[in-house]
Order: sequence, then structure tokens, then C-alpha cells
Amino acid sequence: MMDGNLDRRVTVEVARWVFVLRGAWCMVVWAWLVLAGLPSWAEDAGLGSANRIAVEVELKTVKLYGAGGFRGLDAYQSGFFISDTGHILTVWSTVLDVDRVVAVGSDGSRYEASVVGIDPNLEIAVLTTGTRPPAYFDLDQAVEGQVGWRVLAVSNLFGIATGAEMSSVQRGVIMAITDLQARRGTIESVYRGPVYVLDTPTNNPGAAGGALVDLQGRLLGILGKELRDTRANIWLNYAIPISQVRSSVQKIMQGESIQRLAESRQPVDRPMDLDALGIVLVPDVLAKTPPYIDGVYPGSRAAEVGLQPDDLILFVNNVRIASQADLRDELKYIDRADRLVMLVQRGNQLVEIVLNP
Amino acid sequence: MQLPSACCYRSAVAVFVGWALAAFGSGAVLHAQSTASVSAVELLELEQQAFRAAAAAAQDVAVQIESFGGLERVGDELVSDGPTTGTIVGADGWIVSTLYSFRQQPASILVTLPDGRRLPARIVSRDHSRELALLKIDGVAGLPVARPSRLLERPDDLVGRWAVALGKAYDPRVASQSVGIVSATGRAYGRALQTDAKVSPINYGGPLIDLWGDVLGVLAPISPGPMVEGGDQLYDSGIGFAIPWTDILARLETLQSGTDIYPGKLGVVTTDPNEMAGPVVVEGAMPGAAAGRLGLEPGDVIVVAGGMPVRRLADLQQALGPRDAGQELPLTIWRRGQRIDLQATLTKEIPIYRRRLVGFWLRETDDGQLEISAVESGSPAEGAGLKTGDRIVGCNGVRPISAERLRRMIAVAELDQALRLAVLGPDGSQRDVSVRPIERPEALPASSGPVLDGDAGEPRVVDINLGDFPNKAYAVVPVKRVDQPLGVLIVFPEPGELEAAKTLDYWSACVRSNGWIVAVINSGNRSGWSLEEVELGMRTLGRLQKLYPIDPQRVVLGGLGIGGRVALLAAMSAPERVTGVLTIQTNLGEFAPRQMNMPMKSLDFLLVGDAAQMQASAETLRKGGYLVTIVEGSGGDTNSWQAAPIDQLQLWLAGLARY
Repeated sequence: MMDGNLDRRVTVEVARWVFVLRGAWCMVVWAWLVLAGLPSWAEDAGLGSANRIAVEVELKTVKLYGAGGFRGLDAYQSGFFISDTGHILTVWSTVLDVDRVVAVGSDGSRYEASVVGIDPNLEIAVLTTGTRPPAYFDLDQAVEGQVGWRVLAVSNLFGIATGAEMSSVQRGVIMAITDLQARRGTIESVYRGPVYVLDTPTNNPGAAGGALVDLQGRLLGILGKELRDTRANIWLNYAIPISQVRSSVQKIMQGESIQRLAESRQPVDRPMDLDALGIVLVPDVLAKTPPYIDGVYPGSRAAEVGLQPDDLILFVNNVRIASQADLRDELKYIDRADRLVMLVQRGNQLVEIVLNP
Repeated sequence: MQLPSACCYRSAVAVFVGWALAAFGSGAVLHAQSTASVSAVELLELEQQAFRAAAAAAQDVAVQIESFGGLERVGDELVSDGPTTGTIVGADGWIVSTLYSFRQQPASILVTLPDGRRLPARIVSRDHSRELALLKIDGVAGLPVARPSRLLERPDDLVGRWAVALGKAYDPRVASQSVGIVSATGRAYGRALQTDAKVSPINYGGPLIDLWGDVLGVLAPISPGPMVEGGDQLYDSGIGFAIPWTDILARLETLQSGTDIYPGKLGVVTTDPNEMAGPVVVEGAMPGAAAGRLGLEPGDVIVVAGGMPVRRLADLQQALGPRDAGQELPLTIWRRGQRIDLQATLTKEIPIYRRRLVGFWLRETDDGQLEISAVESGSPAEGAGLKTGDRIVGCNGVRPISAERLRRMIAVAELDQALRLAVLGPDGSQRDVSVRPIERPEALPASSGPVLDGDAGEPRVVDINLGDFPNKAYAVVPVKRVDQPLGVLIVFPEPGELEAAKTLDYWSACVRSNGWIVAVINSGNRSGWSLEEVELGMRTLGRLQKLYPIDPQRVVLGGLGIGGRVALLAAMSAPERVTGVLTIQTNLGEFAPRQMNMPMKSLDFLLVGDAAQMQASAETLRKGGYLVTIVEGSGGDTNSWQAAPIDQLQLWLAGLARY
């Protein structure tokens, strides 16, 4: 964590040193000699340091204090300025269930903020203080991150900073970019779009709403709420890309209200039925009984397309099927009139089975 | 996190220039520059480019693995069934992953190659020492194979090197990347590298690569040692492990032939079972183990193992760690001033050890001799004609002999070989007695052994000071000093308080005539026991040992109700100092002892309570070689002695001191 004595000097562009590269060892020794002889230069240059970026970003972030404290809910979270008129982007949570949210900048300035609007689908909220902030992120300048990018996450995780203290800066890399949609059933989140997965524990109480930036200080994303990945059995450290929230934020700032979208996937009225297809599975005796086919009715659709006893159903319309329960659940969403593609394992072969309506 | 402080910059630059050159020279994707101008941001950018270039060069050796069906739980734990990662080790479809990925025994395993092809895989073999599985997919050729990192050739130079952990759980095409350094080598008894890159189920089975894109090792949730729980519990701790790639390649042929690999076991029993104890003096061998066939003799000192000097027991374990069953371990020993080189062939299993019994009690006479103070009826000792009053002056040619030495000899005795005792009768006549030890029976001893000489007087209660712990503890002790060493029972009751009056009332006869101390440690918090309080058992023992002569053969940790679990944990943490565990109306639940029963570290268990309920726990303990006696008992609240029948309890306690 950082203390209040963070060196705020904006480092000057480094004097250019030209190294003639002859060989690694030679070079290392040489660099040592040069640098050892110029301690003051090396200190001013801030080589290898993210100090300047960190300080810049700090000035754009706020610590938010609101409702909570009951039932173990936290009463604080993070946010950052996104306009010269004092708009703040943060996550939508119970912390905001008060008339006036208190926002405290890294320079100690204190604001009262009110909620302008929310997007229930992204679980974000835009607040405004009505006063000009010391610095802000322009969402239009935000960039798309890539896997392997080094990043800084700036947030008030665990509420560790108070008053004029700066938020905490964590470093990491974008470990992966993944779609929460593809991990349906494993993560309880309203948001289903792509996220940056980070390799450092950024998503802790209070961190939600913090800023994710690259090492040039460019905004990449907003830290999300704590989420557990039940399939991998780990906590997910992630941020939502700004490109996913940008248009929504603009709408909110223009006073539009955003409705909760209906769950995109609804069970269908006439779902696919194993019995109707002519498939009998092995008895479902375990919590995760594999969907092995026990028998196929002669003359049925299943027999027609060549399904056989002992086939193991692995995927249905590209959704992974780990158990009979998974299979029954998935079929609820597939209409009898829909095309159905199954990937089954037969011995050591994978066979694709297509059931056209 | 902490940003680098100013004073670090100079060295940071030096390190950077070193690796940047290495990266340019290796032909990795970075553009070679004849000049390097370094600004703060550029330095960070260049590093980032190096990480990404390495990952891009290496990511096609990692594949996604999906499992279908199988168990929902393994033990108490809900098994995650998300995708995991594997690393290609053979161009024709050989893939290494961790056993962790297949704990649920899936009905089917699919591998997705970076080009999107999805193929069924089968497990060909398992390396149980490194917790790896070798998979095969058929019908493929020309897959990219991971190259071993050249850094592995110089293990001394590994720590501090950049390392990137790759995983394919999120995406079969683009690997997830976590950047860190190599934190240590030779972890988990010489089997693993340690890294601070984020290692979790997302990348278990994936490669840990260097900045050239070559593989340092395969990420695995290996258990680092006996003191730390392994597996995925460490995933957010900054501690991750990888099995060195060269160690995997060295075993590839064996694994490809379908042969499973197991950790190699030696089975030597040393005079001091403490890991930090040295020098390492041989007492004997685990009955049936490799060490027995090696011809090791009691008194041999192991000085070199696998080319490395052995000063403590831990050094020997470090030498054993990376070796598999069937592999050789060269040993050098000192025997009577001579250096002898031996070659041990390590084995997969050592027969489960069960404690031995000859069937007599000993007391030390004033002139320091070992006198039989009682003989158990029906025991081998009785059958061999040993009588109360006989003195044992030697065993198997060792003469004179100490009580401890005799105990160790009995502990490691083979069941089919008789011990040769040199015995002095009460009349001064000498004779040799051959007696063959048996496996200690679970039944309570047929007799209660010797009683204390004279009366120790009406017992009293003394307080025990536990230092910085708030727990109140007391002991019921004999009022008069006695010459003979005393047994000690240390009890963890239910959380709350067990009054001294109750304990005194129940135990006073036993303390008075059988020479026992009964100590009770009340919980620090009324609502429950905490893990930290487990160490109070040994602390209390230490306090008592300073005040009284304690018989090392009669050290028992006991518990009432839930306190029995605390007692079990305390005993398992120091089996070389404890000989018995007593639980009264304790539901031990599901647990697996982390270590098997060992000579000189044996624990005898007495479980008092509902016999039917305790059967499963007893079976688990028996499988580990422990002796478990069950006594039916119930009634009263769980925080009282009432449930335990004192007669049977006394018989069991007396039995602990038997040879």
C-alpha cells in the first residue's frame, strides 16, 4: 500500500544515453559504472518506476463513502472522475443508497455527490459533484487492452486509505480477456460481456469502481464487484472494459434512463425432449452422472441420425455438458423446431450429430 | 504493492539491460536495436514487450483440457470442473497435466489444440510424486513441443529470473499470462520451482516459461512439505509451484510406457525422529523396507546421500524427495570409524508399521539396571519365562543396554526374528532368553501392570502458567515426590471450563497409586477452540517436564467432546513426544492422518463413546497403522468424565508403558 509521502514530482524526460551494445556482461558492468557514478540523475529519472503514472491516475480517483455497515456490507467503494464538471463513474451498489455520497479525492478534497443515473445491466452508476475536479479521465481517450499488458489498478481496496491519503496502486498484467457469457452458470453476475482478468488480487471489498490503466496512464477499464468463478473455484480479479460502458455512461449523462434488459435466454415453450428424440440415458444415480446413452428407440429421430448406445454426449449446440443435469437444463432452452448439434464421444472418436428440424 | 524505490533504479536498469540483450540475441520477437535509450515508460514498455513476445512464442505448447462427468466431491471439497491446461511434451500427441485436473475421475477428457481441433484424450500414466498425469491424443503429428529452458542448466542462477505462467482455461487459442519471477528452487523436498506468478486452477498444468519462451516447468498444486497444506489452498498467496521441465523429460519414457511413478521410500529409522536432529544415526529399518535389505546396522551414521552431505534428518529427506520408487540412492555411512558406500534401491511402499509388544513392564533400579516390574499374562514375555524381578542387562549383543535403546530395538524388530535378551535372575544367575515380539493387540492389557512403590499421598491441584495465552490450565499432581517417572495426561475439554474439583474427584486414585499427572487446559475463548491453541499441549508438557520426572512412554493427549479433535491435532503435530491419544465422546468426523504410524513415533488411541459412531474414524486410523481401542461409554454431558469407565481407562493407560 502507499503512504502519503508518495513522491509527486513529475519526472522530467530522461536525458538520452546511448549505449553501444557489445555484449551482455560488458553492458551490465558498464551500466552499473555509469549509473553508480550518477546517483542523483538516476533518482530524478525514476527509471523503471510507474510513479508519474500512478500520481496522475491518483488525482482522477476518489474514495466513496455511503450506506452500509449492516449485515456485513461495506460502506465504501471506489470511483473516478470522467468529466470536467465533476461526473464520477463507479459501480452500482448498496453503498449508493443514500441521498448524498461522500467522495474524497486523493488530495483530500471532499465532495458531496448525487446519483445521476445507473445502468442495471452493467451495474454501473454515474454520480456528480457539480464542481470541477483536479483531473479526470476522458472516456473517449480510453483504449482497448490486450492480454499481457502491464496495468495499474487504483482503488481504495479494504478502505485502507482515509482522508487525504491516496488510494492503493496495484500492479499486474492482463492475464486473459474472457467473456462472462461463456462462463454462464459459474458466475453470478448481471453483466455478461468481456472482462479483463488480472493476475493480482484487485477485487476486494472497496475496490469496485476503481480505475484500471496501462503504463502510459491510459484508462482501460473499471474494476468490478467481487465475483467467484465457481467452475475454477477461485475469486475472479477483473475489470470491465471502458468500451463496454462508454455509450451507456453517455446516455446517463444526457439524462436518459436505462431499463433492465430481460434475461436474453428464456426457457422455450416446447423444449426438446430426450424421450421424444428416442434417447434413453443411463440411470442418473450420481450428482454428476455422465450423459451416456443407454438405448435408442428403433425408428426414432435419434436412431435416424445414428446415435448409438454407449455414446457420451459432450456438447449440445456448443455448450459443454458435464452431467445429465446439465443436459436436461440445456434442452429447456432449445425449441423442438430448432436445429440441434451434438458432439458425442463414441469409444475414442468424436462424432458430430446434427438434428435438423 | 510497493513501487520500486529510487535506490533500486540503478540495479533495475542493469538487470533490464542484461535481459533485454538476452532477448534480442535469442531472436525473440523484439526488434534488435543497436542503441538503447531508456526512459521510465520505455523501460516498462520494453519489459512488457518481452513478456508478451515470450508468451506468444510459447503459447502453442499449451492446450485446453476439459473433463466430463465424475465425482462432485473429493473428500469434503466440491470439485471444480472447469477447463484446465496441459503442456505438449511429444509432437505425436503426448501432453502433461496435473493430477489435480482429474481428481473427479471424469468419464471423458477432451483436449483442444491451439488450432481449435478438439480430440479425446486418455490418461496413460501418473507421476504420484510430482502429481502429474501424462495424456495421449491420437491421430496427430507435428505438434509444437516445449523446449526446456536453458536456465535450468544453472539452478543456482534461477532465482529472481522473470517467469511467465501460461494457462489455457479461458481460451484454447490465446494463453492467459501472469508475470512473476522464480522465487526459489528445490521446493517440496527438491521436486519443484517456486514462483510468485499467479498460479491457480486457471493455469495448473500449463507451462512456466522464461523470457525466451522456453519452458521452466509445469505449474502444479504440489504439497510443499509436511507442515503446509498443499494443493489449491495456496493460490492467492504469492506462492506457486512448477515441476522442472527437465525432470519431466527425464521420466517421459517411463511414463509413455504406461508405468506410474511413485515417490521412492527408504524406510530407515533413526535414533532421533526430529527433522532438525543430527547427526543421522541409524536405529534400524522399517520392518520390510529397502533400508533393511541394505544391511544398515544400528549405530551407522549416514553422512552422504545422493552426493549431498547429510547433517540433519531433513538433508536426507531433501535427497529422497526427487527420487522415485525403483531409483537408486547412493549412501555413504560411517561404521566404527570406517566409511562405507552403499546403494539403496528405493521402494514404492513400506508395509504399514504396527507397534510391537513383548509384554513386560520395566523399572529402573537405584543402581541403574532394568528390572522387570510386571509381566503381562499370555504375552510373549510370559511364554519365554520372564519373571518379575528379572533384570535385563543386554539385547542382541548390546550390553549394557538402556531402557530407550531396548525400546527402539523392540520397535523395529522383525516379527519373524527373536530378540536375544541377556537376563539376570533375582538370585544373580544369568541366562539368555529368546523372545519373539508380536504386533500389539487392540484389546486392553490383561493386567494393570505395576503399582507405585509406596503412597504418593492425597493428590492436589496446581495451576499451570501458559505465558502469553489467556487459557487457564491446572494439573492434578501427587503431593509427595516420587522416585519413579510419572505418566502425564493432558486434557482439552469442551470449550468453556472443566472445574478442577471434577477432575480431582475422578482421577485422584489413579494419580495416587499409578503415578499419573492429569493436566487440563481450558479453552481461551468460551465459544470454541482455535488452531493456535493446539500448541498448548506441548507447552504444558514442557512445563510439567521441568517440574516432575516424566516417563516418555506415558505421555497422553486427551479430549472431552470437541476437545478430542484438538488433542488429536496436538498429538499428530509431535508424535515423537506423545504415545497415546484419548478421546471421550468425541466425534472425530472425517479426517485423514497426514503421516503413517512410524517406529518411535507410534500413537495408541483409546476412543470412548458410541462405538458404532466411531467405527469409521477408527478404521481410518488403523489403515495408517495406528492402534485403536474402542470402549463403549456414554452419558452425562460431553464435558464431564462420567462417560468414561475408570477401570478400563486405567488399564489402557498402564498398557502404554509396556515393552
